[in-house]
This record gives sequence, structure tokens and C-alpha cells, in this order.
Amino acid sequence: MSARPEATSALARLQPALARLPGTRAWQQWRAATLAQLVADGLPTPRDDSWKYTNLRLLERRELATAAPRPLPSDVLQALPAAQGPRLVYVDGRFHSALSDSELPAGMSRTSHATLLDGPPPPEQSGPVDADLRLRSLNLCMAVDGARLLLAGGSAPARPLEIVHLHTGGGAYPRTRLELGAGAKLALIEYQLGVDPADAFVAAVTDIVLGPGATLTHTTVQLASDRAVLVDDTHVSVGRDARYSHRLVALGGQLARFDLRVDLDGAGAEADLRGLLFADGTREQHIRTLLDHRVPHCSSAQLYRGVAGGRGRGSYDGKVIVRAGAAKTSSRQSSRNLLLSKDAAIDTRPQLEINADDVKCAHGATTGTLDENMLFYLLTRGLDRQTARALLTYAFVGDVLKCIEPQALRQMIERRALGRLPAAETIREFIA
Amino acid sequence: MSTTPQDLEDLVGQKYRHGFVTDIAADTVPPGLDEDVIRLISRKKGEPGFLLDWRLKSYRHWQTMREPHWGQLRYKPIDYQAISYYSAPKSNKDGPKSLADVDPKLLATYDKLGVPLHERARLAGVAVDAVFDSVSVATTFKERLSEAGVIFCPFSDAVREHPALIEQYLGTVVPPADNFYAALNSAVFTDGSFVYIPKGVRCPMELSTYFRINAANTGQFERTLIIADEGSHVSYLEGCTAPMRDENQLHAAVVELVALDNANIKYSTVQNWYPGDENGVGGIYNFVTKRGDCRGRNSRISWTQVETGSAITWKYPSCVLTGDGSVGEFYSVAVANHYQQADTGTKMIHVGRNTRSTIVSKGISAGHAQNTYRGLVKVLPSAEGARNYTQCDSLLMGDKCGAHTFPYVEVRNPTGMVEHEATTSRIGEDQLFYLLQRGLSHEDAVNMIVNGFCKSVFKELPMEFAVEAQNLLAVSLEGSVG
Repeated sequence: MSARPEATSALARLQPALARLPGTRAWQQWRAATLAQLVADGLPTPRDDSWKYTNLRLLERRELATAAPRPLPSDVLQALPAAQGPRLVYVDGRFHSALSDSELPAGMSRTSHATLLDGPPPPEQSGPVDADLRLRSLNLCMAVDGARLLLAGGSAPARPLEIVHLHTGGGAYPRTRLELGAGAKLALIEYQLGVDPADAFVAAVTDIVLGPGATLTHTTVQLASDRAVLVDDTHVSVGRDARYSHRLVALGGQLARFDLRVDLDGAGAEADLRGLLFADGTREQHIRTLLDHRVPHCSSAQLYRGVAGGRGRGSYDGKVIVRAGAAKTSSRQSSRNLLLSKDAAIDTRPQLEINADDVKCAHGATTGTLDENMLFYLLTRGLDRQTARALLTYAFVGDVLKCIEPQALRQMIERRALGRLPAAETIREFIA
Repeated sequence: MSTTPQDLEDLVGQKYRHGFVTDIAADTVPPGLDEDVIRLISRKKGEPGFLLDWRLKSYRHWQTMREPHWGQLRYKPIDYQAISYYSAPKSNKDGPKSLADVDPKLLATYDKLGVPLHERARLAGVAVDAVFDSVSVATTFKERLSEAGVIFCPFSDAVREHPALIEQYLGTVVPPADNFYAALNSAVFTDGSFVYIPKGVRCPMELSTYFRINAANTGQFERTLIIADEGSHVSYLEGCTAPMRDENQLHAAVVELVALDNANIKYSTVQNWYPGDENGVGGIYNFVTKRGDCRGRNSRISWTQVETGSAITWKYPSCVLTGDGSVGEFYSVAVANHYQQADTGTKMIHVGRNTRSTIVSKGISAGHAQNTYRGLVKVLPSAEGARNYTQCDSLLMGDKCGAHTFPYVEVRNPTGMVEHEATTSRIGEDQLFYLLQRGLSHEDAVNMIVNGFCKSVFKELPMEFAVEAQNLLAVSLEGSVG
């Protein structure tokens, strides 16, 4: 019935798994109806405009159902990055209390998505689901757990909160909701980690609401396993005079896509988005951002760096919408991309949709290879070609890495990023 | 600085200067489209069999296609069966041999439009192949051009006199199945211009065509084909105006350019069709497919356009850079006022080695208009050392209009270097203040800023057009800024 029967069948294969999911009878019925609609619609394909550069046909042969809980290999636990603050760990989308800290930052309360499953399900979707919302809909259909966090107004914990998502294979549907009260301030670090060689499929959904004057620094570190397919959908609402900063470091996965939608809902709201996409080998890294300026006096800045080597693929699809009446908007968007090999490819689509006149909006996008003049300079200083190239590549992504906080996290990410470059050992000396 | 109601009144009060209808008997086919209509068009034009087959094939393919709706455009559905697909001025039946034979009413029409026929043509140094509705009426300077070996004639003449060239090149740049409107055009095109510049010839004058849609409810389906043989050089000018109409008129033209080794084609357009009234009623629907193929080494195709008219503009003049070292250029000023909607831009497809392209697009929106730049830069794996620079700037006048930028950048070769920059803003208060303080009137200050905004495009226009374009811009935007 769909143009892509293989992908549809992957969804169809999920149907028996529904019976194993918890929840009231009403939820069970809602799930059955939602999945039936998804099977009818199929997964998004490049024919859908917002998925033009991402092809999910890889999922045709994947198992999308969540596996039964199993013991974690001990080496995984040792490989976890050092904690910067209190940590919540989810394994394949389920809360893992033994690995998590019981104490949350002061002023924060936590409930689970699981509690919602005892209540009424959302209203049933009638008719086809928009391609943009299908994976979100799939997540809600399959999610059994997830953090629902509330930071009380005025709270400002000194240490960051960490949410670690560990994937061991099979489907994972993490669902996170975070709300910051008025004037609250938080640093959130999210990890997507895989157990190699996990054949994982992760459809994550994160919803964030920032109250008036709240500040959130949100860092997503994506180190999924080399065979993982990861689709992350994050939706942020930024209130009056609130500030949202997002840092994305995408190093892992076979195919990873990050959808970030930020609504500037209150006057004086600010968003500052930066990201690094690293697509080496046969990896695919995609980012799509949608910045919605809904009210006057808001500002947004985006800065994305993409690096593709080997047969890697990448894309940046960013849209800024300025609604009618959103005067005094200021928006900047920059996407620079580096191609390191003949078979690498990066697509960019920086879009502006502007319906108000008193605005200042600009975007810039470049795609190319390393500057021959810079390379030549380093060669004249006695560096060999490989080291020079690696050093320039490292410098290229520096704009993004340098603003990652706290320092210990930045150093860990720098180490990981460096490890991907040839001549890592040599250039480590230069930047130490 | 803000738009005062009075300014807006002035703006909406702006009347279309070229709005008039020439009342002459037209030989028009009843509305509707089927294979018989296509056969009739082909028969009326005395076309060879291969062309009729080509038309029918296009028509059959068109029937399987769906109208594209990805543009940032909103309009009522078009009833393709309500359009008359052929209209020829009656006076042309016997074929005018000279200007004296031409219907005086027609000549008067050109006069109002400022088409330089008669002595004015000679003085202006412009050869005009004027297309009135669908059949060419007068052609000047044919002799001087033929001395140089240049063929410049109505498309239907070329079909009769140079069928080999037509058969070789027609549809090779824009295939009939390319898109919905190109397929429709391929099936029903009635006339247009044909240019062939032989090897090593530099065309002795600027070539110019005026299109004008005249009979009501008549779609205009022009077909232009320009072939620049090795080492040749041509500059082609196209200008349009149309009379005032209440119903929307469809225009679906196809322009194909072919540049062989070291050839150079410069194609300039000033488009000022009826944009509809201040309430968005009427106006031309302009769905155009323009594409140039830089087939030869070191060839060059340059598109320059000033778009001020039409209710709907859907137009993406493109370059396929096949030849090694070939160059594609696109310079555009698009103005949308009242309820006009423009979705326009370009495509640069880099295929050959060391190909270069430049895109400079300036969009101006005023009133309730929507102006969209949509462009694609594609560097294929074969395009070693390709280079692109794109700049798109938008100027907004008033808080009811919209300016959108949708660039697509797809790079498949690491030696390529592609840059894209875009800005959107309104006229700077400090700029305006500076000029007012120097004693300029508000109107003049705005005109000066807008002209400065567009300057990098206007300087690419041939002299004749540069003046016209600046005036056009001033007229289109008079009183629209505060």
C-alpha cells in the first residue's frame, strides 16, 4: 500500500510487541490504532520534504521492538564517561536504578512516563500522520519509561544533571520531559551511548519547557554504536527572557538524525545552537533545526560544522521562521562543511521564511575542502601532510568544541573527536 | 521609520501603466485541449511530421503528470480546458511583407510600448522579432544579421526553413517530460524566437523580442531556442508587458539555450506583465522553464532578470555546466508588490571540471506580497574544482509581506567550493536618515537605497535595459516605503 513496503513491514512487525507493553486497556487500544496508522503511512522517505536528505530504508531489516531486559556487560559500565553531576541512566529506554544516582539536584522532582500509562491516552489521530511527526508518534506508541523532570523556579544547581541513554540492541524509545520554573538555571548533559556492536534503533523524544527568565544549557553527546540508527526529536519552548543553549556533538551511529525545534514563545527569548557532525567511514549524520520566532524581540544564533570523510554523508537542514508581527527579531545561521574525501557528501539547506519587516536575519553556508594556503603554510613549518590536514580539521570544529561546558566534559569530547582523526597522537602535542 | 497609511494608499493606488487592449479581430480556437487542437495548431503552422509527433508525445506525457505545488505560492486551481490554445491576429493571414503591410493598430500598440520599430529601431540598434500573441508580425534587421550568418527568426519560420537544426536541438535542454509546464508548452507552443549564431561570429547587435499577451483568455506558450556555435557571442534581450485583464492568464514559456565550445550567451529579461490589481484580482500566472546548457568547453551562459510583474511567478533560469571550464551566471532582481507572489531562483548543475557559477539574487517585497528565492547548487562527482558563490538579499517594505530564502546546496566532490550567503532586512533607518539629512525627499532617498540594493544586478543588464529597469523599479515601488 505504500511506496516502501519493506520499511512498512518493519513497522508491521512491531504489532505483536504491543501486547507486551504496560498500560491501561485504553492505552492498548490507542497504541493499536496509532501503529496501524503508522503502518499505513510508512516511515518518512526522502520524498517527504523534511526528510529529503535522510533515508531510513536501513530500518527495513531492523528489529524495532524493545528487547527484554538483560544484564549489562561489565566493560560497558567501565567505559561510561566520568560523571559531572547527578546521573539518571536509562537502558534501552528503561530506567536503571542501580546505575542512577538517587539524589537529584536541589529543587528538582522526577516522575516517570510510566505513570502516564495508568491515565487516559492522548486523543486518537484521525487520518495520515505528517511525516515530521511520525517518529514522535512511534515513540509515544512504544515508550514505557522516561524522565519527567521539574526544576522549581529560582533553583540553580551548581552541578549539571546527566541523563545517560544506553542502547544494547533492538528498539529503544526514550522519552524525556524537562520543565524549568521561572528564573531556574540548569546544565543538562545527555548521552546517547551504545554497546558495540549493538544493532540498535533509537527513536528518542525530548520536550523542554523554559519558564520566564530560565536558562538551560543542554549538551547532547551522541556516541552511539557503529551499527545504531538513531533518530532524536527535541522540541523546546523558550519563555519570556529565557535562554536556551544547545550543543550537539554527533560522533557515533551508523545513521543519526537530530531534529531540533525551538519555539521562541516569549519576548526577549534567546536561543544559541551549536553543533558538530562527524561522518567518517560510512556514517550518516543529519541535523534539522527549526527556529520559530513567534513574538517580537527575540534572537537566535546557529552555528553548525559538518565534517565528512570516507564514504560519509551529512546534511544540515535549518529553517528560521519569523512570524508576522515578530518585529525586532535578530537571527543568524551559519553552516560550514568540510569534505575530506572523494566519496564524502554533505547537503545543506539553510532556509529563511520571514513575514515581518523590522528584522535582521542572515545566513551563510559553505561546503568545500581544506584551504590549500593554510595547508601549505603548515607544510612549510615542517609538518607532514597528514598531520597538517588533521590539525586543520581539528581547528575547523574548534568553534563548536570550545564552548562546551564544563571543562572536564569538553576535554573528554576533544579526546573522542581527536581519536577519529588520523595522526591523532601527533596533533595531541600541538593542542595540549 | 514606519509605513504610514498614506504611503500605503499611494502604493495601492499605483495603476498599471501598460494596461490597454488592442481591439483587433483574432483568429482564436475555442477553449479546450485535446489531440485535435494540437493537430490543428500544427496544421495551421504547416509543421513537418516530426514536430507533430513530438507535440503529441509531449501531450500524452503531460496527461500523466501532476501540477507541481511545492512552490511558496497560493492560487486558485487552473482549468486547463478553459484556455484557448491558439490565437493569431487576422491581419497576419496573408503574411505582411514589410512594415507597411502590418496592421496600423498593431504598430500603434508597439508604439505605446516603446518598441523601436521604423527608424527608432535603427537608431536604437535593436533587431526586434516582435511576437504579438502567438504569431510573429514584423522582423527587422534580418538582412544585416544574415550578412553575419546569424539566423534570428520566429520559431515557426525556423521550423520551415531550418528543420534540421530544430530537430537536432529542440528539447535537448528542456526535455518535454521535464516538468508539468514544460510538457504543456511542448504540446501546444505556438511561436517564439529562434537564434543560431554560427562558428566564431560575434552577433553584430543586441537581439530583442517583445512578448505581449493580447487576446483575453489566451494562454501564451512561447518557445525560444538559442544556439551559439563554437566561439560565438550573443546578447539576447526579452521584455514583456501585458494589457489589463480581470481574469488570470496563464503563461508557460520554455527557453532553451545551447552554448558550444567557447561560446557566450547573455540572456536578459525585463518582465513587467500585469500583476493584478491592488486587491490581488487578475494578473498573469507565469510558469516558465528556462535552462541553458553549457555544452562546450569554456562556454558561458549568463541570465539576468528583472521581475516586476505577474501575479504568480514560478521561474528558475538554470545552467547545466557540462563543458569543462564553463561558467554559469544568474543575476536577478525580483519585486513583488500588492498581492503578487514570486517563487523564483536558479539551478546551477556542475558537471564538468573547473566549472564556475555565480548567483546574485535581490528580492524586494512590499504590500501583501510573498517573495521567495529558491535555488539549487549541485556539484556532481565529476566536477573537479567546481566553484560557486551565491548571494541572496531580501528587502522588506511593510509588515504584511514575506521574504523567504530556500537554497539547496548539494556537494558530491570534495574539491568543490560552494558558498552561500543571505540577508534579510528592511531599509536601514540610519541610511534613510543620512539621505534625508542631505536634503533628499523621502521618495528619492528610498529610490536611491533600493537602486543601490539592486546595483550589482543592474550593472549586468545591457544599457537599453538598465535604464528601463531602474524606471520600472521606481514605478513599481513608488510610495511603498515609509
